[in-house]
Amino acid sequence: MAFVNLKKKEVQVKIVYYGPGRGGKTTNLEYIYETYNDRIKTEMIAIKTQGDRTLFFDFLPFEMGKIMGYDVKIQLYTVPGQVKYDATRRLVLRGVDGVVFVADSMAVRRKNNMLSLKNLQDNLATYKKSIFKIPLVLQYNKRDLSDKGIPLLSCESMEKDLNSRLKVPSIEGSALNGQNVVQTLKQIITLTMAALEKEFK
Amino acid sequence: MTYVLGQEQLDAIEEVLEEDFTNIGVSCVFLIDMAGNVVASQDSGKITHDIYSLAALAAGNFGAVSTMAKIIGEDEFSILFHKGKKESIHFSKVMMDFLLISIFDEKVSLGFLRLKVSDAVDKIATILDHQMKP
Amino acid sequence: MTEHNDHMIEEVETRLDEIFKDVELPKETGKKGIPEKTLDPAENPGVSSPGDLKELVLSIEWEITDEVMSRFVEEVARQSELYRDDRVLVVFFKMLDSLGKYIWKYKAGANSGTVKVLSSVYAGLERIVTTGNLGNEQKEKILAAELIGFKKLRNDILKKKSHRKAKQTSQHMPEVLDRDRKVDESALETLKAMQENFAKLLEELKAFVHSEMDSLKKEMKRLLEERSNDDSASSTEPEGTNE
Repeated sequence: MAFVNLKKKEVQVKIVYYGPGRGGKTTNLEYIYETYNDRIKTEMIAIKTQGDRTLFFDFLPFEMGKIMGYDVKIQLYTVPGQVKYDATRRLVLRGVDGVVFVADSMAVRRKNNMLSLKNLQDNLATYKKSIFKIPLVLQYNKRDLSDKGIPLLSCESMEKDLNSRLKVPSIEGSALNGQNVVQTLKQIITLTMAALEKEFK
Repeated sequence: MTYVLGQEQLDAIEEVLEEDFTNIGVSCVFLIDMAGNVVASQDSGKITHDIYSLAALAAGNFGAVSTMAKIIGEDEFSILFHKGKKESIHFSKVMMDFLLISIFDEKVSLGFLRLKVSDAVDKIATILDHQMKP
Repeated sequence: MTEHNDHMIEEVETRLDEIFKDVELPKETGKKGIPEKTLDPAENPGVSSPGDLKELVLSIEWEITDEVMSRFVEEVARQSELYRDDRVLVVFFKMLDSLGKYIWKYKAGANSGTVKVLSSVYAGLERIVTTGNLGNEQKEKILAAELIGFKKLRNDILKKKSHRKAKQTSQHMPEVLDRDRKVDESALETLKAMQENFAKLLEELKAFVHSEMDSLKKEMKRLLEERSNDDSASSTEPEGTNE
């Protein structure tokens, strides 16, 4: 739930990057942080294991400046993707306003994608939120691996697996190379702000 | 650092947990790694907590709190302890890679528990030091 | 409303474009930019605490170190001297001294209920000291309750000790327990003496009440007799006094 301070005219918006383990959620944030650090001017927090796996969450806040007279602060979070961290994922999802689902294009991860999406639906439901109503963007990540000869799922099959019912915006990308990382972020922020505006009306 | 623990080490760790904790009234104690995996556990049999979720959250909690410590200029906090009305939970680092989590009721004083934890940490560290390093 | 919505979206999109304007992409996206906030090794020393007894008891509840225990035992000795004229309080301080030294000596090996008993004894002591006009009887009652807890702990310790002895065939008995027993014995003697004094007081009170009742009865009898004499005197007066 977005936090609105009417006195200070501030809005805080929470966007969570969700998806299977090793899918590229943290890499998305790291790319944004490294590339736009001089403009974002905030620190990224990463709570991770010694093996560089997200343990609790990654967090990157930044200010968008004034929109419609309100100072909009965006808070980007990632969740730990490994199956065993379900309770932690649920915790991080609390109060979410918009979700980026980072799907892994590797063919071997097909099942993981679907299970993770179902997991997102279940965890949203614990907060009485519907996956069909929340601002959501799908990112089909790791498209760059096709150059390395690694078998990837086609975007069509990923659409069929993940988006046949949801029918939300989907974007191909490569978080490692930065391909469409920002476009994904712009898309989700726009969707989220539009939804919030409707809600507050 | 990778650890490979044999059954002997695991049994020895469980023995420490039982002697030092269960016998003094601690309801549940478990040793986890910093990624939230349960290495060993003991409980008094009265309560059945979901220790796997607890372990993941405890590791995340410890990680988050350690990060907070660094933000305020501390290396780490020496006490991480959450007090409940009936049950409380105490965290202690074991060497670099493990956490000892104890859940205890109001009959056990924190000061005394911390003495026990300190003892147990030394014993467990000795056991872990003898494990097979690949 | 749709127009308003569109206007807002336009503003959002423009702002996002400004923030995320094309920059020269780095060739390698390494992780150098992100501050490492993974866990580091560190051990902080324990808590040290100030002088006053209550603070020391609270410190013990949090953390037991040599420093805290040494300060505790010192403070108990100091305050025991201040209250040396009060027999009840002296016993409290003796118990605290005994418990403190036991914990200090045995630390993790101490009986798990010791800290709770120490806190309880301190709470009893504090109640007596801070409550203004507590009579001797009430003080003794509070002391008796704490002595029960103290004795129970002592018996627990001895029982476990004898179990261990049976296992290990060790003859060692900690000095603290001996001193503990002496404290307990002297505390018991004090309690006995108090009980005797109380019984004596009760007897004296009974005797006093009886004697007062006797005097009252005698006085009432005398008054009744006087009254009946007056009545009979007025009824035998001669006639013809009228002139």
